[in-house]
Amino acid sequence: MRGATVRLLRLVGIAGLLGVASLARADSEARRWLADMTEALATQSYAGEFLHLGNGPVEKLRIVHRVRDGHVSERLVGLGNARREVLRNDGDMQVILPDQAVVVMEEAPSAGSLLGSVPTFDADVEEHYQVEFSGLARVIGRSARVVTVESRDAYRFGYRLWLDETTRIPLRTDLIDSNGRVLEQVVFTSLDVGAAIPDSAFRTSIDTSRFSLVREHAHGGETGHEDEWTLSHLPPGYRIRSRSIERLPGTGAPATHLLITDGLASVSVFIEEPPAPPRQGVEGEGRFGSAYAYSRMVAGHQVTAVGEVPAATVAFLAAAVVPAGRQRLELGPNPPLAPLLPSRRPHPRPHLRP
Amino acid sequence: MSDLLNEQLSALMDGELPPEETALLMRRLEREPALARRLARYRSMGDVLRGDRAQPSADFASRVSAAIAQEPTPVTPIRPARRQNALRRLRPLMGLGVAAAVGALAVVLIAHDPRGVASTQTAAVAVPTVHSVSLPVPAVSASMAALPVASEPASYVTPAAAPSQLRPISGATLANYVASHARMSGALGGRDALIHLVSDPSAEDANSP
Repeated sequence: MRGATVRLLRLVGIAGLLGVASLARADSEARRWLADMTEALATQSYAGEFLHLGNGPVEKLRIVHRVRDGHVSERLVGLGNARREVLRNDGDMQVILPDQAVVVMEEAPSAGSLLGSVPTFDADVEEHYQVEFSGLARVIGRSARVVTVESRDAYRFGYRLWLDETTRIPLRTDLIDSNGRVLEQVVFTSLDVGAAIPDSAFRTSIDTSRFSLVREHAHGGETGHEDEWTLSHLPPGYRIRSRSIERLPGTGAPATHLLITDGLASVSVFIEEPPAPPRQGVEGEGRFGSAYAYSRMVAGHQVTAVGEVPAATVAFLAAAVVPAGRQRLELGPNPPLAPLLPSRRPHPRPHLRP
Repeated sequence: MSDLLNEQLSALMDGELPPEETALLMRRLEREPALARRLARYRSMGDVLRGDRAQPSADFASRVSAAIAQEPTPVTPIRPARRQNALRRLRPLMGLGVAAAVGALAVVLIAHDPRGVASTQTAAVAVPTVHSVSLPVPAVSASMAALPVASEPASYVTPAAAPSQLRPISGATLANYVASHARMSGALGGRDALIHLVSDPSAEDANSP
């Protein structure tokens, strides 16, 4: 009897171990699918239309992406009245804005897709996100596996991706908050992968001959006084990845830039020189697609935190900006937990205009 | 707005509208921005009311897709993507395309930046879907209140509570910041910013009351 019990326990134990192992395998398989997705978007040829559903109107867009003989051509067209579009030919990118009669030329990278990518998942990232398969589904008549990248707390958003079984193209992508609420969706309504795409698919039908041309050159990170500012606290899992001086596009005004990341989500904090009169400082919040921003004034400087994270995360980070003389936060590979330092005088309150 | 229409929108949200009706309704949504805004409000309300974790089951968006696709999309059999060393080297560059395009658009938008003018108006140039935070994130307040640093936590999450004292970030300024950020982050979030920029600017203020 006793022997039987031991054998049973052993069996249960082995079964348990096997179960854990297969779960771990499933998770790593899900991560591999995400890597395949990034690669598929960048290296395959495809054409399709998709809807963007947020808390505004439904938008319809068309994407054409072709990789042929090592050359990448891509075109993203908004199908609304404005007919804005982005054309890309290897290293050259044109943004056509018919509603403003403007064409912007800019250098483009030699790889990647306008539809984006996800970074590689490592242990640091997994501390704050759970990556797993969460089902099978059919989208536009294709079989898809659903990969969920679930945020483990309310300081970051998660994603749910419907990846085509055959091509790994994300047929649908949901941005979700930590309560599982869907904030935004991108869903293909038609998709053709692997077919030959003619050159004509990358020519705009818009007559741009009378449009004004704007040339934009990439701004490089500069160095200078980037150490003059820091953060007194960080939300859990976030760390400062880099400090630099950046010139903001358009104005060219230099700003101290802190890039804060948890490995997947990222937030930029910009600290600008005091605005010259009659310009005024800005205090408040904003939202742009899935990006939230929060601005406030600190010691006469304009501080703005912006990123694809919840509103509270950018508000937290904007509130934590202090001149570096007061508190110094070291850069390091390990994400420090909030509160980072037991501070005598904790957070600066966001300064509200009286 | 008729009851029938309300019912249809509601059914669409619940993924219970027949495909042919979904197709008709979607065409109408494309023509009537007001209707799309109503749908957006339904979505937020539904999310709040449900309050539970969304399940990737028979759902709204894929029904919409199926209905709009009309004729079935031919599935082209191709080999699954294979890892190649050459491609792996390219990976660090991915995402920059988004950043570059967003940056390019911002250059145009910033020229009309009204910041500095004592005004709370959005930029003269239409930037799609710029509005203040409207999504409920109650869990954030709760979790932040639980933080030891948060002996005065309300200060970090109260902006919405004192809107009259805040000057909102103008549309062009916001686009500028988002573009600068996208240059350095890319990823899926950057794609979303790009979609917003390419989308029809007449869609702006869709969320305003």
